[in-house]
Amino acid sequence: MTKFLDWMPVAASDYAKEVDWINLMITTAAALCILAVTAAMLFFAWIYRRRAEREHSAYITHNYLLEVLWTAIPTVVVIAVFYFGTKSYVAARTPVKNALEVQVTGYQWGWDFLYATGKQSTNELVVPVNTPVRLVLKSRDVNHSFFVPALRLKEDVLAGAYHYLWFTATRIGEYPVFCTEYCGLSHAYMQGKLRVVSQADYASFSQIEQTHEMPVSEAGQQLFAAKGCMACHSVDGTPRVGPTLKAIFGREEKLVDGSKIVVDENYLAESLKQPNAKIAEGFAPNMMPSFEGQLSEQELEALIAYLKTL
Amino acid sequence: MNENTANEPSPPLNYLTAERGIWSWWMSTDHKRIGLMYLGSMIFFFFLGGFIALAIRSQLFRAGSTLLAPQSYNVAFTIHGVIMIFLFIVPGVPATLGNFLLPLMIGAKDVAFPRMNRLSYWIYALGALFAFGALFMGVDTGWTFYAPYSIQNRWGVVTMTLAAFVLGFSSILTGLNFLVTIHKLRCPGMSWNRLPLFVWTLYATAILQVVATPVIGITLLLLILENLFGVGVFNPAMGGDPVLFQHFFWFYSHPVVYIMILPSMGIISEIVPVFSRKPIFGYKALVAASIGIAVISVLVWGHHMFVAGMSDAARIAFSLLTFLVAVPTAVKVFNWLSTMYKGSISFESPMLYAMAFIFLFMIAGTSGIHLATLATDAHYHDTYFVVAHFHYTIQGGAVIGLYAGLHFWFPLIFGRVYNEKLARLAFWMVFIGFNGTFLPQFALGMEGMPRRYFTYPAEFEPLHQVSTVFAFLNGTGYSLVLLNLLYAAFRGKRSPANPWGSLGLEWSTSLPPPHDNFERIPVVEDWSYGYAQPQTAVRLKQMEEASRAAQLHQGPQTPHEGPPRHMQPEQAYDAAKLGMWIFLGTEILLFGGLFCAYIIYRLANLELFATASRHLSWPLGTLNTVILLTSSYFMARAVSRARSGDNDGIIRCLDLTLLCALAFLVIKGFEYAAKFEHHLFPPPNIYFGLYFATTGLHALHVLCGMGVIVWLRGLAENERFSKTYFTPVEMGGLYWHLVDVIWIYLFPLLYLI
Ligand code: HEM
Ligand SMILES: [Cu+2]
Ligand SMILES: [Cu+2]
Repeated sequence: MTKFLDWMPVAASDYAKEVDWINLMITTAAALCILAVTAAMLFFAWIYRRRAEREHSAYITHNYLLEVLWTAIPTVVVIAVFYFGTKSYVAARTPVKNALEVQVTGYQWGWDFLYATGKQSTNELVVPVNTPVRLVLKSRDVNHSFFVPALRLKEDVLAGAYHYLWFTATRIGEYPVFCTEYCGLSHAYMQGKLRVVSQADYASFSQIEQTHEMPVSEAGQQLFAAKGCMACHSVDGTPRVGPTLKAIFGREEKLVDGSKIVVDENYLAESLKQPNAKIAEGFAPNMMPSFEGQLSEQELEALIAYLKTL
Repeated sequence: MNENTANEPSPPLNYLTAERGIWSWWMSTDHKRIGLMYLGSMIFFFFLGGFIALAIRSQLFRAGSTLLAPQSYNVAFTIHGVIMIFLFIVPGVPATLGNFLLPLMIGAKDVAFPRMNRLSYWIYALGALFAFGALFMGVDTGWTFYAPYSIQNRWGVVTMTLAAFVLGFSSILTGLNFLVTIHKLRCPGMSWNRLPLFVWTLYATAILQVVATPVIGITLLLLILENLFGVGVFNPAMGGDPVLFQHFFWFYSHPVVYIMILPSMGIISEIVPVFSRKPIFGYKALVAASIGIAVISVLVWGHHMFVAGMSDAARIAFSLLTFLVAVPTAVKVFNWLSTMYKGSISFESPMLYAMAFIFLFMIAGTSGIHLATLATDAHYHDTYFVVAHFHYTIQGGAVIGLYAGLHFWFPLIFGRVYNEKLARLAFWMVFIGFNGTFLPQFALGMEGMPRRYFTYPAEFEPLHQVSTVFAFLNGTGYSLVLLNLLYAAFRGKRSPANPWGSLGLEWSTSLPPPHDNFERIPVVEDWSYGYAQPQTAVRLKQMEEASRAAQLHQGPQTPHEGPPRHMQPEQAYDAAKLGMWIFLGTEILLFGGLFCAYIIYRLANLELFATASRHLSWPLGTLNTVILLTSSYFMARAVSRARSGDNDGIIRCLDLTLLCALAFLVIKGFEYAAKFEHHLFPPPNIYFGLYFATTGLHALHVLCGMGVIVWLRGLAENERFSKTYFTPVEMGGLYWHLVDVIWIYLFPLLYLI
């Protein structure tokens, strides 16, 4: 289509192309509707314009068939749009196994990125091409929103809970990143960059100089030992006082109240801070101490990173 | 205005000239004067907000412009939004044209509660004053006040949200008044299926005002408390949930967009038939669409939060429901279009505005489809696409509708006509200016330009420049409209009777109408869309004669105090009762919001709540419950004494009720004192935050109730009640019982479980 209806920026993923297609479909349909009704309106305005003061006009009050038709047809149309829009979106939000993970922290006013290797970057997110990526988003202060126009995706970044984004970039290049939730004075400067690089480039980028920095999960492992978690939780599958943490991440946990839950970052964080909030089936409440206030945010993140490796 | 009319030959007395002086306007209970006062204030704010908009557009003319400092820009867009939303378009059409026309269109002498109507204007003025104060305090949160940015203890936010809270009150009063008026004050023959469509949309709007506003009330109240004392509910640092704020906020603020647009749709439904000389097409469908929109609109708030971290299931559900709202909107467009079919159409300025509305609203509605679609909204959310969408709906829809109505009913309101040529010129400037401003913003949104940015990457510049240039044309157009109408209101030529040849009941009285609207309550024999029929010409002639006759019979009518004279006694009683029940409903919703918050946090923090609630003294709580129940008993006695005309009995029972209330507050005072001593205030956690918020709000209600009782007591002492008239006692009693019932829910929730 012409630029007239479609101003989307370059698409950096297959999903983005899908969105463009849906968008173009809606825009075109909308434009056609608007044109048709406007043309009819102008046509009526012209041929039924008042030519004489006393002039015949028809006494028509309603037509049930028409009412039914123009209720039913738009209903069908919007449900079709709903179907396509939802299908693509849900596919894009379905977790991909073994996705490359990056921790994203928003703050007034910038973005920090932490990669699985322990590599860190600020305001520039680097990801390998053709690789599923999972962003774990969290804010250190007020609300932000992580928006990559080239991916046609955004998700709010809030304090108090982790949010997620999944994507697979398919086009090497540099793309703007914007904060799209107003966050105070320099909100407009809270811009970053997404750099999609080849997998080889990514490997060299994410490598860290072997100095005192260590991978996050390793720091988590040391904490796991230091805080005495081992006393109650095995990592090899044997049940102790508490459930084993083997393959804990992503596993479906049955709770004492009968409900089921898939273990994610929010669940792990809650279990550390308020152990009694959700009790796994077969275990008693009030066994585990709360670590609320005893772990810094970084330590919490490290622990969670470690648990994911089990 | 008065002087000028006095200079002209044989001045007929009307609502404008019935009394003179600013004070007589301020104190007036005449719905027409109140409507005009609203109109004046709102137009003032519209231009103030518009002026700020031009400042914003100027800053955005160039990338990296430094015309406005970053902070000034952030303050400017906040002020622009707050003024345009809360001071201008939310009161909008109902408070102005609605107030003016509703009684005239249903053949009543005034609204059901004229003094409450005046009170709603006073409250509006108070709210405006607060908002005005906040303007100078540098609030920079945006009109959405999202937490936690808005809870950093800033007086500006407190003042601004207090303003919005107060304005909500005024909105509830208007809605309540309209609901009761439409139910109880329709003239003989004005059955529901003859009700003008504008009135139907006012009705649907009033329901939304009454249902949704209490929820924003409690939200803003919590936000204020959060800023002052740190309740914790919206503060992640205290375990609160910022997303909950958004849920609460949009539960109100989505319906509110339909509060803005529905009455404007009603105006279009009035104008198109008149200028097409044809009955409205699909009357029933249009009514059903209005009600349908109102109902669905309270179920779709989540579409503002698609990317705010809701579960995917919630995103899908809200998306589907949002799509459904588009259907009744489309139905309306098709019916308006069909009304023009085979008509005899003329194109004076009201019709031009109406046709523009239809065109613009299609763009607005279809862009809503882009936003309701999950895949595309994830791209568009919080970009200029949303900005363009809601300006098309609000400015292109609600405001253009208001201007259509102003031009249409202008001769009725002022008895004069404006310069039509100038009106058309101004229309085209507004229309072209508007489209030129906001069409490019759709494209900007597609490109990914985020909203609320005081500067932007250079690639967005060309479209921003186009937008800014046309914004000035838009503004000039509106100024021309204003000048034209303002001049005409004072100096315009006298309007002939029924200048558009409308069959609307409102045109059958004089232009402008007398204080009491109609000599005698009219009797209606047909709907007001019976154009193109053999008898149409005769009816129009009769209306014209009635209108001229009304001119001759006018005398000065002083707005009055005391028991309503514009209703029959039974009618007044029914109205009071219905009004009271609606009011109680809003109170329940207000507390309902708090209960929701309580339950949500309780479920999330079972342990914390269980331990914290042990700090409360359940014996004192129980004692207080008993005391309140006793007071309810005495209140019921007071009502039954009133029914048997026993004045002393009323006073005695009221005294006892008062005594109980006082005891309740004293005990409450002891409880609070103990909490203060234990340093539980400011609240250390959400439990105590909610404890103080709920019990404090309840105590405030007790205090209000005591005020009511004292007032009733005064009336009883002056022997104002009789066996046949004791409505205030009964209504006061209902209110008191509600205050008790709320406690009955609070008590176990806070003290026992
Ligand atoms: C066909 C009917 C409509 C649909 C389907 C629709 C849909 C939507 C959706 C999904 C959003 C959220 C976009 C986002 O933030 O990502 C939105 C925003 C908005 N809409 Fe509509 N809408 C419709 C009509 C209206 C009307 C009639 C009005 C007002 C008169 C209105 C005013 C607004 C406003 C003010 C916002 C944005 C508020 C803000 O974020 O500041 N909409 N609309
Ligand atoms: Cu931001
Ligand atoms: Cu909405």
